[in-house]
Amino acid sequence: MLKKLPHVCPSCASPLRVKSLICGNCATEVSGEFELPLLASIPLDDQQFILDFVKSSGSLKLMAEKLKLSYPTVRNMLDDIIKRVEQNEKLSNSNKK
Amino acid sequence: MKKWLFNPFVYIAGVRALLIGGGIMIITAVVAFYSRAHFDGALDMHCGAPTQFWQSWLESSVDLASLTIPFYILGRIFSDTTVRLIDIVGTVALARWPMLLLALLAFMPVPYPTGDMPSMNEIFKLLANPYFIVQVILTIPLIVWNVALLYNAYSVSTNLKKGKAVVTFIAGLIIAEVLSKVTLAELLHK
Repeated sequence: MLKKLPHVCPSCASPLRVKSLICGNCATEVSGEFELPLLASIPLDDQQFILDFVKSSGSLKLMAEKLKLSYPTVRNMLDDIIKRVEQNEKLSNSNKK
Repeated sequence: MKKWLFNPFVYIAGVRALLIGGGIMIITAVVAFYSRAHFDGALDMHCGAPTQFWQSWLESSVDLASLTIPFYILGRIFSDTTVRLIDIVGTVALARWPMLLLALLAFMPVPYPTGDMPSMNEIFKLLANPYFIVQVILTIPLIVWNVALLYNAYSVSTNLKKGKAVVTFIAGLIIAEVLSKVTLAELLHK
């Protein structure tokens, strides 16, 4: 089962921060307080879309061909992701203040 | 299947939709010429009066333009995304394909009154005709289907959703109906 990375506190809905990281090879653990990258705070499907978009050299036309969807549908998907990223950005900035 | 019936614009838009929709429009104009169907308004269909091929073609073209212009302007005003004219005209052309089925329905032998002021006898004869009843029963779902397709064409092309999409779509549809009626009256009756 693919575990989803939680990015919002289940109790107060504030953005979560990273407390520790572990080396998959030697199990060395690094502790501290790190911010989650903005991209990690969006749904997995959206992350995959962004990866595919970058791999398509940022061409929506190429993306539409690959996904077998129409151009405006793919453009709308990108617009919706931009909105979600901007919302997360606002939330993250308001929590920093 | 449901998506292909009500929202094919998720898969087809732009030039491809315009080519398919335009092809269906030509076939519809030919069928309408033979079946004496008139699309004399963006959402209108009337039967019975004789027509000429250029008139059938003109009606379809004016209807398409009348829908495209308000949808494009409303999309540009209310949407945050870049609205392309080719997406609006293409998806709207494709969304009008149920008109072909409506034109085919007009082949039914319904005794439509020919004059401008039909007599009561002619009206009763029309209302009692079983073909007329079948035609009305089949026309209503086709018009509803056409409106659903137009809404999805507008929504996909402009990325407008929910209340904003519904309100601007209804406004666009009313403008389109008035625009097409006025334009066709100017072009055909002068």
